[in-house]
Amino acid sequence: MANADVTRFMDNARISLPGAVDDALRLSFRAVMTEFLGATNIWQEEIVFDTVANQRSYDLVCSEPGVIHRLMSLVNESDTPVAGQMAEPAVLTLTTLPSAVEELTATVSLNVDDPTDREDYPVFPAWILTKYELTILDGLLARMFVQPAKTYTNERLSVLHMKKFRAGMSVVRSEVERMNLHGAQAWRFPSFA
Amino acid sequence: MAALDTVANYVSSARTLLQDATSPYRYSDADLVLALNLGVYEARKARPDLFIGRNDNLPNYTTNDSTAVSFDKQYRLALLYFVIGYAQLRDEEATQDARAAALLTSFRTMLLGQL
Repeated sequence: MANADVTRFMDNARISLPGAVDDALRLSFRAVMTEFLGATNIWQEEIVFDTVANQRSYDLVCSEPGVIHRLMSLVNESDTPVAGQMAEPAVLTLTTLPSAVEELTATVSLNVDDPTDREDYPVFPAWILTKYELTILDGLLARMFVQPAKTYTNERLSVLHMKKFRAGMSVVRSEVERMNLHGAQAWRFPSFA
Repeated sequence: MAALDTVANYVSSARTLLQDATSPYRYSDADLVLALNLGVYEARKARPDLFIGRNDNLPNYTTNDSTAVSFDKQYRLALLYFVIGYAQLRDEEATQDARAAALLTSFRTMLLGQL
């Protein structure tokens, strides 16, 4: 992540949370990112792999520093959807047993993993914080304000920021579905039509 | 070096505010170090977020020396107030009782933001 972005983000949080300790801020920051990334599917990666005849299950490995959270789509070389599921994260199970080698592309959404950067912040693409700083800040403030018996405890502000966080995530989900294309609609013809 | 970094810093600062800076002391090292330990325990009860990552291993200070006291800088004054307030609990004068109560209340108020 970009240090300047994180520094500004944390400064913004500290201003609203008198007496908050940085360890607690970092812990809540990670929790908020887990919720944000899980709810919006904004961090995605395409994983290309070859099937093996008579093998139904495949371990997916992402190259980015996150954990696989959800299977978004699975297509073959001709962009035709292939049926599969991921009951256990990162373990893809094909519905139909493949009879030959075929190249498939699984698009997965990612979430924050245990490794953190040198300052113990969660690792995720810097552009996410740059673009959605205010929404993520709302989530962090909501989580911090609701903590009991702290110098910054404020239930009313927690409710307010949680509403803004939820509304912000709805916008993010919509932008993810439309691939940030203004005026686009989420629905499109399926590739086989 | 930051303020109130070590056990000796706390003991020395407490003695200054207790007006007990000249030997022989009214408040022994052992009494003040005990108060420091109890203050840390009370802080752990009230604000567990001050101890994130320590796996519940609370420190146990034994002597008035240069052992580091790892405590968030924002709350070191509150811990010092606890040490002084606890030390003054043993005094029986009415003024000292009120002062001890005020200091212990300040400790909680500074940690929790409200009574």
